[in-house]
Amino acid sequence: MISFDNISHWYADKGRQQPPVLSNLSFEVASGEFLCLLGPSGCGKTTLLNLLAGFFPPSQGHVLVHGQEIQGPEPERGVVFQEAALFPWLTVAENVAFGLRVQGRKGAGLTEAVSAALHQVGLEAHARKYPSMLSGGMRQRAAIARVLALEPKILLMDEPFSALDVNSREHLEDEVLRIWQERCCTVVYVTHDVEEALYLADRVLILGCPEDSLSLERRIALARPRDRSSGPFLDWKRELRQHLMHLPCCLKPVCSNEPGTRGGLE
Amino acid sequence: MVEGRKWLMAWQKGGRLLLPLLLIFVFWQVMAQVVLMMRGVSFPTPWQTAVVLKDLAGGQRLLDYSIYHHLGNSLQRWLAGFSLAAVCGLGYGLLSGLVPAVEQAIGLVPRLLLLIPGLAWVPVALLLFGIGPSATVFMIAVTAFAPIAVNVRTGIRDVDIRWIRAAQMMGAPRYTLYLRVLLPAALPHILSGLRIGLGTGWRVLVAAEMVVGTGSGLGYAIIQSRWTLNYPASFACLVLICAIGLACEQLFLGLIEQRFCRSRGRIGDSGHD
Repeated sequence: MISFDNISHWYADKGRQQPPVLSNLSFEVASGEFLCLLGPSGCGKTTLLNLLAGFFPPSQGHVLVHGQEIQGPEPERGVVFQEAALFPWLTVAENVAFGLRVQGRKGAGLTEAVSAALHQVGLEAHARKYPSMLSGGMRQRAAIARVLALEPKILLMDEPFSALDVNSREHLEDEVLRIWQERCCTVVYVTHDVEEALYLADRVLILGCPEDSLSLERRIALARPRDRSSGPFLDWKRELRQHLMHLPCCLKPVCSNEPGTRGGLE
Repeated sequence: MVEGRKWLMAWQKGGRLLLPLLLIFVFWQVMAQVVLMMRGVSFPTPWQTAVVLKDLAGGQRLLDYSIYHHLGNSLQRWLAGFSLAAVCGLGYGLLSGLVPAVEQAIGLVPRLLLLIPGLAWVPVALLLFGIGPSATVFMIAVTAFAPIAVNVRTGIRDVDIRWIRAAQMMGAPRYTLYLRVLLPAALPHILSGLRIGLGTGWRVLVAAEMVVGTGSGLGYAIIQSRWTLNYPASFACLVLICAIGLACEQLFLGLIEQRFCRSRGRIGDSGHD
């Protein structure tokens, strides 16, 4: 359904081309699959997700969805950002309604869709609050609701819970699984946390250094709901951690010079 | 108990406003005495100034006009100059924030203007408009323009890329992006630019009226009363200038804080605003 065809990507800093963040990467994601992208920081996970979202095109290669090349961001591919990125000048309900309004929804239909989305993440009681009045976990719930309201076929999540405490993170992971199972959508989930990837994913991809971007691919054959302390789970965890630890360090100046981080429109 | 706390809070709130004023008056009074003793010159005291203010408020003429006429003329010029600056500044700021080419082409202009002190425009204003109110309006407009333009531009350029991406991801077309994301996101910067422009304009106005010979206005009144040795009237005008500037500033500040930024809280959603 989603296919990355020989993707390479590099950023330019003041006109000078930087070393590639991703190079010659190819893989596919099946319809309805839950895929986790794992890797050390600076390995291009977020870049990969941004390419898939369509925020900018790859320097080389093609990203295809249903055989069609991605033209730009679309509501069909909903993104949950690392830090919720809700509009702080709108209430939670208005944030959720934003995308629906853009789609031309109005009146009772709009209100209904908003409350349905808020209900799904358990935020009905906080509909009229502003994002600054919410906790980190609630903000991520709101961000998820905002995306769910648009009924995306593909859900892209960029380390959505990495800033949260363990309790709310595990709780939200369960909710993401529930939503995924109810909606049968495809999820591409970026994380740096081995345990999170193992708990969630059908399949885990480990990204390494650009010389070989795709460093390891594993199908996680564990029945759900998964037990984080079971033997097989821990075996998996050991294996993936071993692999991550032996990856060559890829500390290089990336992401700081991503196009347009200083605002404006590309 | 609750009643008592209410009183205490009201007193504290009032005190915060009154205390600085009281300090200023005490300092002023002491200074007047010292000047009188050391230099033998009569320095208007707060009380004398208050009496003059009362007389002026009662309709006493100052330099051919009532104080209301002076005040009205000053406010009119301020409004005209500021409106001009606001329209141009907003237009420039939005355009250059959205179109990098514009910024590259003429971005230096407001930054240069920012460096020119208001009064340095006097010769230019005189040459362009001659002696009269137009010169004053020009000076206000040209000085208030730069801070507005620069702030609006910064506001637009500094909009969090993730807000833009979030909107695009939800399918927002360009005009929605401009009107419903970039504009509200940049609003705090825009308002603070307008506020600085308002203050700058007011200061230049008074200074310009002193120099450009407008024939009326608070600045003109201050400088002319000095020539006629009517120092208390000068001081009264000074007090009026402070009062009006402060009132507008408070009004604007209140607007910013209560209307628009209330929702953002102290810790912004993104962690960096």
